[in-house]
Amino acid sequence: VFELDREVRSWSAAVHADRCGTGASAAELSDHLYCEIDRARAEGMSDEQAFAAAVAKLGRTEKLSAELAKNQSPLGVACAVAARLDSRDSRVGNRGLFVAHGVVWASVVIAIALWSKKTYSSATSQWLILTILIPCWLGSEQILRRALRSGSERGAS
Amino acid sequence: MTPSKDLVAASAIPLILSILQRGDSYGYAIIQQVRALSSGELEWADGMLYPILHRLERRKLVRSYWGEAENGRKRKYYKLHVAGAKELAAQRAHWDKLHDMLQQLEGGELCSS
Repeated sequence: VFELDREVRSWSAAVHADRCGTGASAAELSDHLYCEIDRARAEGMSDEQAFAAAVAKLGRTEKLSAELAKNQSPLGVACAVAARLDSRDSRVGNRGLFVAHGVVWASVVIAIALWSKKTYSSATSQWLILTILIPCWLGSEQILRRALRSGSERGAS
Repeated sequence: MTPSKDLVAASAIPLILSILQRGDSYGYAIIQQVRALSSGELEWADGMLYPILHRLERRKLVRSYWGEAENGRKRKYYKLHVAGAKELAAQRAHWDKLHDMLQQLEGGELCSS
């Protein structure tokens, strides 16, 4: 049985997948969809036909989603990235490993910062060390993430 | 004759701002108005309007507020901001200039000096 409200909700969820704070955009697009569906139904279409026609008029879901994502606030972008990483971690199920990895790197950064404070007098050199270390930290986390993901994919297949 | 994609994209912002200058409106109504004004010749993929509206809002050219549609649904309305009116005036001047140039070229009133 075709349930119009459910279909509208799931279309909207697909358009706004992987993003945060999209309630307003979802409500706005749903209103648009219902306006178009009402018009199509007035012409004699069934709910299913009217929904398909309205969705087609809005264009390709991926394209619309990408265009809408361009207008995200910096906070929204940060939230989306965090949500994506979090969902990957929970899927992989190695949260403890990531915490340990973070603790090791944080210790390394703090140790080097303290050592450089004693060795070098220039603040610029300390900043330089930090700007090298932090990307290394993030890079190492990405490598770990990928290694675990490929491991789990192999395990699944 | 259907205008090219580039022309449709370039004309979207001045059209949206002009519609909002006449009064507050919402996405679906804006699309219907453009369709009616162009007698159906200017066809937008309906979805292209919303990213543009959101961009205009981020640039503070328009403001939005929530209202209620006649059927009780939540509806997002857009209102032209002062900066939007200025932007529209500037864009109108550009389009007028372009129109003027095309008219001159068509009529042969070209000043070559």
